[in-house]
Amino acid sequence: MKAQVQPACAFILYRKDDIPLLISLVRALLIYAVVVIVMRIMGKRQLAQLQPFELVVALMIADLAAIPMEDTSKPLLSGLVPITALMLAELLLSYLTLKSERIRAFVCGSPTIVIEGGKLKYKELEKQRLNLNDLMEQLRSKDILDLSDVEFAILETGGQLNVIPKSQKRPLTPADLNIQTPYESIPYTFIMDGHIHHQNLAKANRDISWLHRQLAERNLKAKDVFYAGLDSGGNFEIRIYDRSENQ
Amino acid sequence: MKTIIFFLILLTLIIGLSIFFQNMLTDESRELITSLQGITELIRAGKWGEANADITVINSRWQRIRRKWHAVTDHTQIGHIDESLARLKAFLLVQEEKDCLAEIAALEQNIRYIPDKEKLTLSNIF
Repeated sequence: MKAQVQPACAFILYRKDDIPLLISLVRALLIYAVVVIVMRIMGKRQLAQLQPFELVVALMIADLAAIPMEDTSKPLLSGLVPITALMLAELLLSYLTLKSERIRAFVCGSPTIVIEGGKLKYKELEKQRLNLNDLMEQLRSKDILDLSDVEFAILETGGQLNVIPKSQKRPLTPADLNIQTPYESIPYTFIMDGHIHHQNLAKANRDISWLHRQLAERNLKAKDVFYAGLDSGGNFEIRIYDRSENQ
Repeated sequence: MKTIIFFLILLTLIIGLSIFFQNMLTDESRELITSLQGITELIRAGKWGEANADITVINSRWQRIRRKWHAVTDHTQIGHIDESLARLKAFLLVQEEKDCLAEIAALEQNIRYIPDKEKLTLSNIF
């Protein structure tokens, strides 16, 4: 009797629902997509500056996403519905904190002054359970070695310490020397990785023919350009691909 | 305002889906249990042929239902019903009355457990 030979890639020929690992793959990709969308909907604040309640939401979403991903006996909805519910709660709470100062103070707390006029406020430090070592560490990270150099140190609701040095200890600014400085606008990127950003051209009151003229003057095409744009002084800057770097 | 509209739409969608799934689980489990009770009566009356025919109908109905239940129920629980149904079919073939009745009772309990577990009650929340 002729033996049946199984090719090495036989598993590809099976029906797709016979491959258990595919379920994990599809589930992981689906949950990943949902979490990306949820984090995107929750907005930039969620990632840049976490308030205590936002940190809790981020941790819980991570945990909820992991459960249906690793345990295929759990329905996918049992992970997706709580993630959506948390997103809704977070959206509602951010909206309410935006509109009401009272709710904001209750949910986010309020900033605490821990150093005032160079003097430590021990009671506030104790209330915030911030020890002197941590405080000094944070001050040192802001290049301040002496407590008496600090006018104010404010512990923000997000946990970061903002320090305002005494006026004599602040870095010198052009205003201190009465020096007039030229206006600096926001820099605009017109070409990035060979792709033209038409929206930025419009924002900077330039058009595509102006950009083409700039490129033509330098015998370049957009696809040859790695970066092109206006700097804060309004000067046109251009960087072409350095092909020799890749060799 | 956009946030609030989005919030309300999504919340309505989740609540609507929850009610739909809850009703679906309750109705379909009730149908299955009624059919199983019919089989119990047939067994007690000694009508094994009819009971065997009915279990085939219930099995095919279950195969349709379980696909939908998979979306909202723990798959392990569905596995328990599968096992119980397979055992009941075997007992019916050999006409074991006591085993059949015991298995039907267990099957009914397993089926009833699923919509009960999904209900919005204090005991389920805590």
